[in-house]
Amino acid sequence: MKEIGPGAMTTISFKVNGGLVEVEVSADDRLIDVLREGLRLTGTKEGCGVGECGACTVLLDGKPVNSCLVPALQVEGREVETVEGLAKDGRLHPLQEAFIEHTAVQCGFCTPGMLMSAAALLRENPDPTREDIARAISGNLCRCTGYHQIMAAIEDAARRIRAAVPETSEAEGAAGTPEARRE
Amino acid sequence: MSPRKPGYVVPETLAEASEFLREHAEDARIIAGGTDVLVQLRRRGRAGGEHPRWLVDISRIPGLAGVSTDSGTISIGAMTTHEEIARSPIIRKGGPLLAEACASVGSPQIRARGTIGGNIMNASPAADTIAALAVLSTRVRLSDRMGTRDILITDVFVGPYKTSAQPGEVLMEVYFDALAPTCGSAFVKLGRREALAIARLSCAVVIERDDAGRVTRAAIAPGACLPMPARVESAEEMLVGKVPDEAAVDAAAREVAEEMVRRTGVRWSTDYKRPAVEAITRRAIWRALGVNVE
Repeated sequence: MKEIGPGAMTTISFKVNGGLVEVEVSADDRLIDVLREGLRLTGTKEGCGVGECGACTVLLDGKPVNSCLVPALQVEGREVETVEGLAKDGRLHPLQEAFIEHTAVQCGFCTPGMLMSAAALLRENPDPTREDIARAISGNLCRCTGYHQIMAAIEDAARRIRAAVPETSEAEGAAGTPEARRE
Repeated sequence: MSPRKPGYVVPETLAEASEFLREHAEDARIIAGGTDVLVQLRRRGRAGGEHPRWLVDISRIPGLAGVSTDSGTISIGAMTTHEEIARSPIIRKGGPLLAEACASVGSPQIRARGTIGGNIMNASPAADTIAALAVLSTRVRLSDRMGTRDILITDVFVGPYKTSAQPGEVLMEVYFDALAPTCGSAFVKLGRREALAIARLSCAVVIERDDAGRVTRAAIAPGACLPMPARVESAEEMLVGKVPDEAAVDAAAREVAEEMVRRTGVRWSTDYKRPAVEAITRRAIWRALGVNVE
């Protein structure tokens, strides 16, 4: 049985955005503390600190979670993805591109969490309805946009991702147009 | 000055957890998904209060998560998340109102972490799952190194945020009889907005009828409005033996609201709550009868 005495620290290791990291944590450290302070991954924002706003959303083993509510010690041996992991080879993720083009970013504080909830959705459901999108981001508060630009951006990003990876059954790039996919 | 930091233990077996909890009975707190405990630690820290000396993390004890079914009984491990329950085909078939209740908890992020065991043992009067578990006559299994005991879900609670569990006891699983296909059920929740809202009021209903349409069994539990979660038997009795019509449903719904007032006394909010409880109860009963009303 692992035991960390009151006030003591211990080292945990886990994967962040594909790379293995080791950090010192105490019992009351939260995943967000480790990310922002231990690893200097400050893309993840802390809003309310009590799991209501979703600004701190990251993926834990592929699932969106509030990193302010995850004890760091529970992350040992698991896999975390943050907003810093979305861009690949110097290219923004299609979600990030779509957020910019649709003005889905205003003050920007909710954006990293919003992107991670959206990324989790699109991985599980590449062709979400508006309702699916609304449900997926229902744990992420945005006080600027009114959500419509965000929903449009996620819809558009889904389209782009599908178009980039054409399914063999939908040749001729038919997956790229909304009309074609409503068949 | 920041409060003293707690210690943290990660037992790998129930025996280890139970042993540790008994030794540190007054000064240990079980942590599962952490969605309630971390908020409470933060609030206590801000208020200058003391942390519990130990957090006992039961998330690595094997066999505590998952939904299974065996000869008509559905079991849910304490560490099963709300998301897993909401998606489980076994629950959607044999206890669909519990799937609905779990799907209404918090947000996707909370549902991915929060567990059924945590929702029960945190004993919040507004816990979303409890009313649904109550009308399913759910039993909970508490274990310590001495053995196990099974109690009815409604006997778990002795007050807001207080349970009858003894120091050293861990909630292992909950189980209930799968609803027959002839059973109707519903869970209705009223929050201030759709996501992330703590339930202001909710109502869970199970109704079984015979071939003639007469109610043979009714279970009604309002949520978030009683000091302790409970079924309202006096309202259930108003439906049993009847082919439910508008008058009978209205009377049962009114009785649930009256029972709330009897148990809580008249408060400033009673004028608002009484009609709201009556309305969502009526809605839940009709939905359980297969009639969708608003």
